[in-house]
Amino acid sequence: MDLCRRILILHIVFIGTLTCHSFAQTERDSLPGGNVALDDVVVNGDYRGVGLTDLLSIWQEGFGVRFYFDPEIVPQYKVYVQFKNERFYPALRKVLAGNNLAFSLLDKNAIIIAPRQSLNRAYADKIVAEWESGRYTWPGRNLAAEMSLSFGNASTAPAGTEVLAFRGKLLDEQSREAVIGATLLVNSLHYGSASDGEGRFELRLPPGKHLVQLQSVGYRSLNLTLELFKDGQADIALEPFVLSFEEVIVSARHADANVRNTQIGVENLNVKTIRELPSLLGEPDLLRGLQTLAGVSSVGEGAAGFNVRGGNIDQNLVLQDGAPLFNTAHALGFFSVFNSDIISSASLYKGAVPAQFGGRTSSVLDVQLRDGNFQEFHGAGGIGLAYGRLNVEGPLWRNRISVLAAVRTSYSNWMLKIVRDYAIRTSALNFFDFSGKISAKLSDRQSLSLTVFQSGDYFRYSNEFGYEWANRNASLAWNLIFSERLSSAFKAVAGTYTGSLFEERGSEGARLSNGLANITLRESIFFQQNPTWQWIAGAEAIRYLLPDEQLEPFGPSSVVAPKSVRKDRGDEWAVFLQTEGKLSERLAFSAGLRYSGFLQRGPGTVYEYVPGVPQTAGAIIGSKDYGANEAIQRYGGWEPRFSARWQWSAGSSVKAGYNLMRQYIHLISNTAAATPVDLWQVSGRHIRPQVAHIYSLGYFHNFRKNLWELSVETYYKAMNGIVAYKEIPRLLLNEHIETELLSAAGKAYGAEFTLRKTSGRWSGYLTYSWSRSLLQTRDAFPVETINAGAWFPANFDQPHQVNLSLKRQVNPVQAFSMNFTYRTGRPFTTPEAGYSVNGVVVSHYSLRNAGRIPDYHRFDISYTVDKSAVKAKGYRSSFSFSIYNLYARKNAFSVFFKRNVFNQQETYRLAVIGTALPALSYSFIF
Amino acid sequence: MQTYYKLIGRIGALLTVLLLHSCIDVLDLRPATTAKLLVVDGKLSASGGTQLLRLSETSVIGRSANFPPVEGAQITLRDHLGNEGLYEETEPGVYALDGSVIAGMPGRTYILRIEVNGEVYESLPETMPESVRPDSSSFVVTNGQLLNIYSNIPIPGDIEKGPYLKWRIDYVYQLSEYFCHPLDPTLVCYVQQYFGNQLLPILDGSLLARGETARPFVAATEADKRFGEVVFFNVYQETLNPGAFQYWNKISLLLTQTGSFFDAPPGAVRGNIINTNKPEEPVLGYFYAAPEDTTHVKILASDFLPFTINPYCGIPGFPPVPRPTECCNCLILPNASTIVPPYWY
Repeated sequence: MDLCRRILILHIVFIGTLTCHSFAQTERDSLPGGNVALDDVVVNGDYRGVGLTDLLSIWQEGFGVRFYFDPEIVPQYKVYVQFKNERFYPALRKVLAGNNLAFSLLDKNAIIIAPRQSLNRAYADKIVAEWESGRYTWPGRNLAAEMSLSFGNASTAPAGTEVLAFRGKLLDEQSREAVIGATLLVNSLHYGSASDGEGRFELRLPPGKHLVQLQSVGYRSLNLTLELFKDGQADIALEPFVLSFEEVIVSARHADANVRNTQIGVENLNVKTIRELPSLLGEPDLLRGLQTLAGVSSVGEGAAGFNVRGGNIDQNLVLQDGAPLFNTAHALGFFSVFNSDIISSASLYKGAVPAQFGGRTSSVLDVQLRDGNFQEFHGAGGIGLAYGRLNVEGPLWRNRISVLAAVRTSYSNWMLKIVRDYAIRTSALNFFDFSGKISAKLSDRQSLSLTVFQSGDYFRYSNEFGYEWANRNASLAWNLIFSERLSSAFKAVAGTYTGSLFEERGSEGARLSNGLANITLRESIFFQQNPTWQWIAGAEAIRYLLPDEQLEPFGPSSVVAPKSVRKDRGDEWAVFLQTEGKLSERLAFSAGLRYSGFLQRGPGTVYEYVPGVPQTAGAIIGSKDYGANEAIQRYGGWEPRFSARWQWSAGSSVKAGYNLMRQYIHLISNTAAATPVDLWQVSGRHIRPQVAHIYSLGYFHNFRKNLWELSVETYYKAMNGIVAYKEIPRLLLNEHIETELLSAAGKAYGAEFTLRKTSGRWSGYLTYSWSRSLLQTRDAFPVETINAGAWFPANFDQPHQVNLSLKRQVNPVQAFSMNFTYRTGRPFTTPEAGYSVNGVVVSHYSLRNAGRIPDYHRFDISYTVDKSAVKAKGYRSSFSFSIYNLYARKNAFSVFFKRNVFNQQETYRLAVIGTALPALSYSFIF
Repeated sequence: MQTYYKLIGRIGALLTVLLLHSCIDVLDLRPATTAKLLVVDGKLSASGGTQLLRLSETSVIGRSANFPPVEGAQITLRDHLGNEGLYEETEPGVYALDGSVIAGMPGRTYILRIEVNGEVYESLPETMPESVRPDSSSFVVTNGQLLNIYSNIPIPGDIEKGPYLKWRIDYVYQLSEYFCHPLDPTLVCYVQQYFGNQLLPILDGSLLARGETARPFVAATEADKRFGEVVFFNVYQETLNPGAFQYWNKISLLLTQTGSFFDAPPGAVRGNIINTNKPEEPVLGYFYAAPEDTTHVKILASDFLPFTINPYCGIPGFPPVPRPTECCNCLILPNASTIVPPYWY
């Protein structure tokens, strides 16, 4: 007996220690073999990362026990336990702990596992009956699926052939959507590839038999046995799989993509990670998540837009399905217009920008919305304190046409109604957005999609004033594959942005409106020369139609006379060529050349000024009117782009890049944060384009099998044509706005450090940015120069920025996240003296941005229960509780100076969020 | 559930604070200081009386509102017709011009010249515009005690630019003493009050329809016991030329800074005075020529809600407790007089 027990224990130890490493290799769904007293069983082994049902299966087989449970309810949690000489029952309790599961003995060797509240005899009988009838079966394990493909045989292999091509497309088994970024690895050859944006892949292999491992986020791995004796082609379906939370948090990219990619300064944002960050009022937001990354910041809490590496907010090209967005703010900037439920991918190019992107001098944020499900209807939604959201998707024609519709709408007015203050009670704050996408697979080689987007915001303070703004756009994408190597992507976009400010001031009540319309056509041709070398060529044309700036009476007693000011129009166009390839295993590069041009065209009026004196309204000596479409001013120039990567070891590389970028449209905004009625102004006779030269250098290092990523990036930007403002300019309804503007040179430089832990129970990232952004008006007339022509800090110059985002995965369902942010206070203009005129005391300001508001820091936490992480189908829900600004710091948005009632000057701080903000949100998927 | 509602209510209140009220508090921040600059504060009106001009220097920012006067300046004013007048210093930093020597007249252009401390300063040519006369002033009582004052201005149908208007406002209230002593007759005082809260109302009338009557808001105050009898608001309206309006508009923007998202960053406001030898020297203040018109609006205690406003010294037979000293001698109040103002009725 003693001997038998020892043998059994050895067997169990063997299973216990090996199964957690070997279960992925062998599928075991068989029922138990042995039959022993469970009290006598001792458990040993390392079960960290093993699926719960996998573990039960192993024990069932090893211990001769029979487990009964509802496969729909008992999810496939992963467990993180280690046992050393642990008794069976305590071990089982540990395994089930935290999952609200309990067990009970049905007989000597039969155990039922069920939710605590369901565990009773009747329930057990029902479950056992289901198993006995065969209606319940063991859920599949997260094991790699197997597949074999043969192309020819050894006898038919062409003599002398060294390399054969195996091409195809990776598809989602259920939705038939392309699987992007999946890896195909041939370990024996140390060779691999990845599926592209259309799910296509190509492997070039020597004739013979190969084992190819296909892996992608959210899909069961596939071991493909490939017998390749002639060129072959196959579409491969991957099975969706949402068991492994460790895998889910890994973005759709190579584990060492940050080291291997040639481009520097590119952030591929993981939308799931952004959802997990503690968020304002519990509402996850792409742009707020973006601001936790190194080199990305904003001027303050609730400010619209974002600043990248010392660039103004108008220097970021923001694209959603290819359509440019000119105001991404909801609720004045507390939220963004991006609906994170329907985002497929989001990439921020802040260093090396490929030549197919242009028109801005700082960064490109490229957000892609996902297609609707081609197989079946699904939906998702959620409610929070500020807004609710709902999206539905499904096939209009199974496997052919899918539709996706998503809407978000605020309901924050109820919060205002419960406040005693009359002005607030009668205020209003509403917003909504709608996204719709129809995707059609015209054939195996053609696809078409139409995305429409609309957002609207309404803010009114009591009955005094308010803002309204709206985005509308539609983009049509037509993708065509000519051959396995040649494809085309055509995009047509039309959009408008409108903003208005209304003020109920009796006889002076008025509404001021402005906006921008644009039409974009873009064609890109992709050519895959070989697996390591690709080309992209194309052209782009944008027409900017700026409607007249309008003033009209508002309110019954208004006597304001309608007025309109004509805004300039223009056409921007570009041709580009981009190539990316590997010169050797170590050296890869990406090079592009773009030529962009701009035409300011009529109708328009160009004012002439007295030469040799500052451009002021009083210096106008004449004007010239231009007719419709008449050329007024042309600009243009080359924009070379280059970046290279030297990989000196498997886990480390050095990258360098240079970009020249031109910008022909400018946001004329002289407020602390952009307002909805800030003007977009095209370049013209008196307003030059912005030009930026961007140099980047970075070191990237991954260690511990890509578990940790470390990067250090430095950059230097030299800019000219930056729009600067004369003292207290009048920008709205100004027919000669150039009289209020100056042209400035700019420079921005800095270093960014990022340390990221990509997976595990603790994951997250720590970033530190040191950056400066300075401007100089050296070419202005002496009386107009800012700070006597010396370099002065831009409004968003924040030299030090630290961010720490951490997530603790308690179990597959529960997670705890925290976020800490610190940044230097932004600059502001301080008064140096006071004086009295006309009975009022006025502060005198001479040096712009010479002071700094107090530093900003904030700590947020959140706790999430996400059952969708362990359930692939049916109704799934998640719940989040968060506290924003946990220690209730009154971070200053601005500092300003006012005289009090005793005519004494006081310094005031405005803190937008001066308290801790708790929030609850609930999300669901069906 | 009740707790849940309470929680939501509290969070809602927080959101409100976040979105609309935020938190504004005082910081102990010492601004930088700079060299002293000359400040010119002068106006030429069309009234023909004594015209005052003040020269001072900037002072260190802080709690003081005292600005050092600039004494001993030679100041002359000339118009485009060649008329010239000399200012005389009447008290430190205050210079007076006899309006009969060089009159302020619409259509005439004036240049101010200042010689002080070895430097010569001149104003840019300032043309006095035609007056756009106000029709009247009016008031509206809101929430029982808040008094809003409006000016009613018919916008001329033939005016090309503007009108650009600026106001200053004061008010005079009546205070009737009560019987304190048989030998002390009860007086009625008229006490003048100024707005001390950095008020600078202006109007860009170029955006208003011609031929219509504009009714811009010019002042607001909360009514208290001073409004218990009769109050007259005096609204002094200046018609500005575009240059002067631009200057005062910028000053007004500086005074109304609230630190909000949409505040324009403050900056230096340069006036129309230039050092002829060193044009780059920043000189603050402005000299302008503007006709002035005055309207009055009468407000009675009965214009407010019943019983919200009590007379300063109580109603006859029911004096307030404790008795204010000024109710026995109203002349001890600053700017008090027993002379009935000419517009009083």
